Amino acid sequence: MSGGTLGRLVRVDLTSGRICQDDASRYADFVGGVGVASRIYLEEVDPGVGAFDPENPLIFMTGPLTGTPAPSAGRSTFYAKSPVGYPVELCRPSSIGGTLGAELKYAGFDGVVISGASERPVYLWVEDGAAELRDAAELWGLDTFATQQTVLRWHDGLGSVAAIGPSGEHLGRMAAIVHGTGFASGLSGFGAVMGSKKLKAIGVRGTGDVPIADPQRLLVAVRRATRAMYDPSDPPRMTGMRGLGWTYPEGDEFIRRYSVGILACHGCPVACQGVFRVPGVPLGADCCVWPHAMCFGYTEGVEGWKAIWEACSLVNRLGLSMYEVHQSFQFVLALRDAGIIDERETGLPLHADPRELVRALAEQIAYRRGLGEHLAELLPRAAQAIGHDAARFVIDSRGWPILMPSEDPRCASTKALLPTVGAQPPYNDTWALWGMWGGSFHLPVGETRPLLSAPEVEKVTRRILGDERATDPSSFDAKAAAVFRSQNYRMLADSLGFCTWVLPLECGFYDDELRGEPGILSELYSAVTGNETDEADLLRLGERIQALERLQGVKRGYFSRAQDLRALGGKLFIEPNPESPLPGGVVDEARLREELDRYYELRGWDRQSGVPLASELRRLGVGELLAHLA
Amino acid sequence: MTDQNRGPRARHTYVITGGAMKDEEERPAPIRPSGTLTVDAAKCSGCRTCEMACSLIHEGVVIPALARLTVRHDVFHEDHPTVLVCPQCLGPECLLACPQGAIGVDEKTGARVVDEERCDGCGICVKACHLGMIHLEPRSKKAYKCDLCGGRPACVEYCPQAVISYKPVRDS
Repeated sequence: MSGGTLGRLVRVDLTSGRICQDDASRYADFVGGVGVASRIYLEEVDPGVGAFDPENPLIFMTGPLTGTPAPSAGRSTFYAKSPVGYPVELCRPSSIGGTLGAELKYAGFDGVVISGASERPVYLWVEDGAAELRDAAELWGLDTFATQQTVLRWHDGLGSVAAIGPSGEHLGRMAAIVHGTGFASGLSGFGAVMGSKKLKAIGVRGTGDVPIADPQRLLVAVRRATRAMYDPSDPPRMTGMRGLGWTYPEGDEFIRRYSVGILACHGCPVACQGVFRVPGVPLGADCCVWPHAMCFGYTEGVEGWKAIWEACSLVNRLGLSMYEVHQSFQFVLALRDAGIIDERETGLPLHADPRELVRALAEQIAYRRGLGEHLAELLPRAAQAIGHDAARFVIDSRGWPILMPSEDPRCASTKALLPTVGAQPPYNDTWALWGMWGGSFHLPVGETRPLLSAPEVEKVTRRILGDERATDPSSFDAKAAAVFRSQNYRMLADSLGFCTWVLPLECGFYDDELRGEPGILSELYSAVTGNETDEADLLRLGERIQALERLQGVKRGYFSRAQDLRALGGKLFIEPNPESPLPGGVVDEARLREELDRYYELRGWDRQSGVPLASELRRLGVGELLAHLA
Repeated sequence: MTDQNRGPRARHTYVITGGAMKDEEERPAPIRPSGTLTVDAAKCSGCRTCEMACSLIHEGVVIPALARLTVRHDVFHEDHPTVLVCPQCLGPECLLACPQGAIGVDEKTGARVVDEERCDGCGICVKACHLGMIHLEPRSKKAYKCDLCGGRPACVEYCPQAVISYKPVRDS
């Protein structure tokens, strides 16, 4: 018996209001999540379609493990042409946690394909094998929290809802789809895609089942995987209460005073979100608040942390992506210091307390007021509109978000290599590489000791990335293979429903038996689906999906050898970054090209064009995809 | 310990068997106490692994709607979820209400368990339980409730935050 998937999709055409069911089993070669979504998109969408065109379908796909007890597999993926890229828009996945995907499966569907555009605001309600579009006139203009609460009230308070806020309604390219108080599909601007379709919210309620091929085997594997992720003798380390980035003593004090609980995505033992009840701020949850603290530059004292929390909450309610707000914030400060903008012209309190500036900035961006009119278009476009050579303050010329200053491509060799060969913001992949395998995250408050000793890091690195030099950020040695392997894991995780962030933990940090043994993934997969696979099979699926994603880009003209080489701005090769461990503080262009060639070889891409070779696609069992290159 | 787990409710003054009131003399012997689940909901992250494990063990599929316990959470207003478990009451309304005598006491754990053979799906037990911890399975129309998994409750075993614990009944 097979399990995990339900084999059904809902198709919604917002233009005609027509809703139908579709068979999903013909996409089974691509697992689920990003794999299936990308496959559907490749087949059905013309190359010229832009992010805000009605013909750009927004696809929401769960994975075969979503909604099962496989630990930290409660995630699902939105996929569409994203408004984030510049000058060309890219198709991108953007995953979301919470209970949305699991609930959709209990409602009887693996995914939803939403095409067309509605004339009037609507929301989609999916419940136990049926879907309907409902009027959302009353919801239009509400923030993400109020929208969700209203929809839930209309449906007896039961279900899971994801909604857009004012930013999505105003087609802000950094608009997020927000679910609950802190879960979001944040980094691909899909809130704006929903806004362009006049789709205010997606609500799901399900009381059905997800079949499991071998329940007993699954339960044994779940116990094993959970033990690997979770040390019962040191529980706080692994939860949102402490540890997860709250490494500042002030953060600790903030938690002591205002933390009221922890929040997990469906089926996740880690529970990375802390729940905070701060006077004057709506109850909310979030995971890593420390990058925000680093970015806004006030980590001192509990009052500073409260202000950061206030900003987080506002950004979530407006339906923005916090990491994009970071960049706008840094950009605005740089423009201020360079004398390009002033307070009168922008209407922003540029010299006030950062807390006040963040608040004003977020509101301007969400409602496209003042400077927000430009910033809502993201930095490369904003810099064009502002002029005065503002573009020199933009780190990533393709408009991809840079999480924080340390994510600068000059700060690690993989961070330089990754953005050239993927449609993901680099840190989404590098987190796995550096943070987890390197064992530098998950430190208890005030502790600087890495979780893994140096020999352990080496062992895990060798096992997962193929070469112990893979974690050395100062050189390009062995980086092609490291990027290749970590991308395969990532694609796999995003297709199965795993959290990419927790995945390395799942492969064994606490359990000596499991440490660095990703075999647990294939065990969970085999038990759920009944397809007997081993680790190599699974990684080949990851490779297959990465090839599909490359073809997607080749078909739509955003992936080629030339584009890969253009990905990094010229200043990264010449302007030293003092934080950089690389020789000279810059990216060595010749070494980067060398490692890029090596990466092409591993992927089986043509060295001149950057297009996957026919032989390679056949090796991966997806020769049929070649038809889409014509 | 949360309210719903405070065990015996002392407000049962009647016994219904076969739909008719019985004489005082025929009142059955006091019902044996049961092992119990206790919930420390403040520690709950709302991951719902308990619902998944419970339904997987009992139904062979993941179907939280049929789980024997329920996690509820209004994330916009409540600090943490509420976990509703069957307290295996000392005066079990479901057991006392069943006209078929289909609800009995498990020999090993003391859990109040449904005998599916005897259950005719009348639903009187569902109405009787003031905590809403017994339901009719939609397809088979038989009553189902927490049976403490024969002494090794899945919710306890799979909860990663140690929210739920099991206290076996004392042998005496």
